[in-house]
Amino acid sequence: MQEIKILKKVGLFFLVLLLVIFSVFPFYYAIVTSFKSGSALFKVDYYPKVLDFSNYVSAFTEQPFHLNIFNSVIVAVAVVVLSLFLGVTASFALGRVKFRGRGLLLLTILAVSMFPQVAVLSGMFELIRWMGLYNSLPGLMITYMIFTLPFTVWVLTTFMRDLPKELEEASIMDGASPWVIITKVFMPLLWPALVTTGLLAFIAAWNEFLFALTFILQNETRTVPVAIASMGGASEFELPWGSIMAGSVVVTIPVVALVLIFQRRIVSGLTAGAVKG
Amino acid sequence: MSEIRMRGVYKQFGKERIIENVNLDIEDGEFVVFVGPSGCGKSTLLRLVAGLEDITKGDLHIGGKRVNNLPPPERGVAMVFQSYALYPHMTVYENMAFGLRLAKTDTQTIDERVRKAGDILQLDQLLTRLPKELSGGQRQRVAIGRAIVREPGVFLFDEPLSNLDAALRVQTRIEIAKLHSDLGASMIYVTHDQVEAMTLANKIVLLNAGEAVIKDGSVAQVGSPLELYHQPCNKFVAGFIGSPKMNFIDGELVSSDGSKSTIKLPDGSQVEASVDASAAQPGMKVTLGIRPEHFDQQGASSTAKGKVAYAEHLGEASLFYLELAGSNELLTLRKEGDVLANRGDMIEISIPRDYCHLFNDSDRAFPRTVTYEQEMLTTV
Repeated sequence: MQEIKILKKVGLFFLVLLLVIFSVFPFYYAIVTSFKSGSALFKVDYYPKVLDFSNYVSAFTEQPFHLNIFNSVIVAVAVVVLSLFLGVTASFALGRVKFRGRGLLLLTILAVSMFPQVAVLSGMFELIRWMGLYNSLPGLMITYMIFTLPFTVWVLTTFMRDLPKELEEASIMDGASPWVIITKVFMPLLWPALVTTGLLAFIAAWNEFLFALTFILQNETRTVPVAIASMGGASEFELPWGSIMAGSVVVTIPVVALVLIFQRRIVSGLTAGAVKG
Repeated sequence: MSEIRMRGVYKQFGKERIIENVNLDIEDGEFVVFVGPSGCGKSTLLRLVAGLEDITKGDLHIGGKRVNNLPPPERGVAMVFQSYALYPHMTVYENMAFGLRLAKTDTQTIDERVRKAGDILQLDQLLTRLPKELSGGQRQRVAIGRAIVREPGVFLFDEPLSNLDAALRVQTRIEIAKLHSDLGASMIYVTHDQVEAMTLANKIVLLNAGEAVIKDGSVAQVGSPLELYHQPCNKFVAGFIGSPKMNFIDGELVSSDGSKSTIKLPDGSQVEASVDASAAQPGMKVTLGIRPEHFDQQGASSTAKGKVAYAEHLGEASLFYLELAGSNELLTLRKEGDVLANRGDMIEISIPRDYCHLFNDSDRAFPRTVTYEQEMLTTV
């Protein structure tokens, strides 16, 4: 009996270890590579032998990488704010107000997220140009919402629907308008959902490549993923692996930091005490 | 002044007819209880008054003003929900102050009212707590406090006690009764528990369910608790009010002279009842009703013997379920104190004429010739 228990524990431990290695190793290898230069780049090492920061310096000096990061931050933050605002207000209607065609509307929203990005690319291009937003950041903000809004609306609608009906009615009796109900009563209860969907939207916007590549022309207006991909080496024949890895490490850190910060806010059981449970 | 007048009020959800033709007057300061079996629309009727549902047809006046199209906060009503519905992210104080803040009341008035409500409900020590740190009874008091601070003309309670345990329920029931006498506001209270209805109400509104709603309208009978107990207008009311429920024995009307009637029972025996059934022809199928607790009162016109099928000893009284010759339904008999009788024993029961109810073939009650005031005098 005892041996089987230990065996099970060891087995579980190795399974977990395998999973961790599988998901973390590529990033770890990027960090290791980012400290190497010259021909050392093409040798396989599992730990950094020297700490050489020249790649980090060149990532910022060879191109306006700080501008790219700044662009990415602006776009991602704007996408999160807009998606959450539209998501919360839309989910209030979809989750709490009864109207004809609600189910169909929800399905349509879900269907939008099923289109492959390439399929909507040319149409989106025309749209952006027509709006005069080609080669500008607002163009990216609007187009990114095609994939952030569907899941934001869906997740928030599910949460919104589960909030007790009496809570809404109690606030109606207290004289609250729909806007007050959303902001003062429901939003505080939706924090976990808002943080989760907000983070996902942020990551999606932060890492988006295809739209950013197509709708932006100049180096200065590019966002991070495209900027990293278009980093050029000293000659045409050299791919600057060092700088690319350094840039990747730099842009991953904010995302990791965000997740760690907001992790505390993803707490469940916030509705405890509202109604008899 | 916040008297409520309902005139021909109807409510439909799609094709479903929930509330039919309700005409009801609730005077200022009255405690009215809506009671009825589940699915009778009692909560819906309350929500019509609150403004949480729209009235399909008819007029609702509160304080002399037609309020059909007025939003809930402007009707001068406050509601206490069954599930408390407290704002979980706000403290007790903020929960109570929320409505007043939205109404732009000045801070000092808010503070005064919240503290006063806290005193009334013994929540003064708990004002800074969150709902999740409170017990069920305390949460219910906060919900009531949230209604009190708005100083409404009408309080609406939607089954406020059904989530509490038995002991707390009795205690809170008394607190609500006290609150009513202290505040003097009108209260409408929805419950399915007839004990709550009998103990709290000045006026009970008993609602029909099922087909009777379409046939007779939603309201089965309106009256004081004792009126409904002693002079039910039909078999449904007679059966609903009182626990254990009234016994019904099928019979046939033999004669009636305006002050008393004679009824033939299935076993062939004849019973006299102080009921005026002169409106009906002799030979009509009738139902004799008598409450389990009234069998052994004075003035018996006939006796019968029943075999005990089940016995329940409650301590203060005993309930016996009797098999009677010629009847396939068990008869319930309540005897005060400890009466020892077991399954299979024979018990003799008497049927006192002053305590009989009589219903015609469409279940309407014939008028009793003994008023309940007289009846009470004889029992005291």
